[in-house]
Amino acid sequence: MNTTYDTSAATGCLDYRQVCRRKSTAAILLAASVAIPYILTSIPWVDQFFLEYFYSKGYLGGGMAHVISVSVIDLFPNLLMLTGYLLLIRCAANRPCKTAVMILAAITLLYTIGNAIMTVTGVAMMPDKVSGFLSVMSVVAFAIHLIAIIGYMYSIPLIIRNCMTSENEKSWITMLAVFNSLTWSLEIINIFGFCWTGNPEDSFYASTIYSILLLIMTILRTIAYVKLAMSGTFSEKHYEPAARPYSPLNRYVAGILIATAVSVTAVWVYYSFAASHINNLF
Amino acid sequence: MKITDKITWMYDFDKSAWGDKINPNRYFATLSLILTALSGALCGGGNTLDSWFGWSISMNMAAMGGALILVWGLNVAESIMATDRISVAVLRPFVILLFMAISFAVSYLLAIIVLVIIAIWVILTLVSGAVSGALSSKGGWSSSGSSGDNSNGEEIELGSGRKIGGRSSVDGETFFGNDGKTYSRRGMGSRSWEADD
Repeated sequence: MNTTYDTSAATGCLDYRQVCRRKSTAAILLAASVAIPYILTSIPWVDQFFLEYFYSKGYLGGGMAHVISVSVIDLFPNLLMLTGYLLLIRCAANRPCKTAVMILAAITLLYTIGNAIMTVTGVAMMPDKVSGFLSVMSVVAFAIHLIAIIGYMYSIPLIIRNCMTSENEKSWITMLAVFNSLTWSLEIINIFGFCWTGNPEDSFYASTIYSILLLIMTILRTIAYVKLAMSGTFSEKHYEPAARPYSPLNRYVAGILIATAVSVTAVWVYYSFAASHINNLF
Repeated sequence: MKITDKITWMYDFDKSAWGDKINPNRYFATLSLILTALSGALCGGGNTLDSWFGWSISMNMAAMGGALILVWGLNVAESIMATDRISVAVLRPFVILLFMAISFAVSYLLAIIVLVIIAIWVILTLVSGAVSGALSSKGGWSSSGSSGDNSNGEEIELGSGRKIGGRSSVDGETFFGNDGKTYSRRGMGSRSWEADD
């Protein structure tokens, strides 16, 4: 039955059963790390509890209480995700996949450290003593976001291109890259803030459709992470990588960049010329 | 058939149009179209109710438009990544845009039509309720008034024991007999009638 036991040339020391165990555990951890923050932030009293706690500590200006409470909520899911990636590193079916998972783990580690620092600062310090530190941390958070975006843009295509995944699994892992392109677009829009300068209620964050989209994306991402962990990317067998495996010049990176350019331009044109008339039109 | 098999029409369309040249996610494009249809329905329904009753439940269209552009942007990304062919990667975003526009417009109109149908139903229910109420009330008059309308219906018995047909006045104190005479009660609460002179 399990004739694949002896073919563990790539990973060397893991057999079929160990790989399966690691993959299943990682799938659960990764899925939980996506679902838990969404569920927690959807429960009104959880968000309110943290907000009120940090308000009571004196974090009032600039949405600081919100930023810190999000960091606290994200800390535990980040740890789950990090554990999931660490479990998967040794099961990677070839060298490029291993690199990709290590990049993903490194990004998650950065987020975890950032969130841990914010949590400790928020809970243990008084805001008047750490206001300078928090403004430095906002720059650090921006840098982490930027590194993460580039890392995701490079690493997920690396997995898709170099592994023997089925068409179905490939389409799911592609969705992960697609949703990261959204992150990328949103970051650009946020950084430059050129859109709804007139009326913040016109931003798509305020739309009901965006919140439903967020729910759809959370569900699809949860499934996609399970598909990623259970796919042929992680196996006791060794797969030959594609030609020029580490090259960033591929259609996945191109897709993310072009789609980002197109959607950011479309959003810019829309908010510059159309949005002010739309509310009067209907 | 599972629910997940019902939300793959866009995937089926992709496969029928381009076959193996494209490998998109089974659900995302269809879910995008459903989301667009939902926003069209909310938009149409909200605006209709707003114009009818002045309810300010219509959504912020500017924000909704921004979110829909975002949805389309995600589909652009997926189109480019899911295929090797440049032609498919260029064409599919426009096909999706067209489908999104159609689903928005159709659901906008459907929402209005559904609201109009509901309004007609409510009006018809009210009208039929009023009519049947009126009819049943009229039936009440006719059943109790069948003797009243019929001038021979009511009877009084005089002190002499003779019975006279006719109708009584509203206060019940006077009785107009069929014989042309008017009768009155004698004494408060008395049951005996006597002819007025």
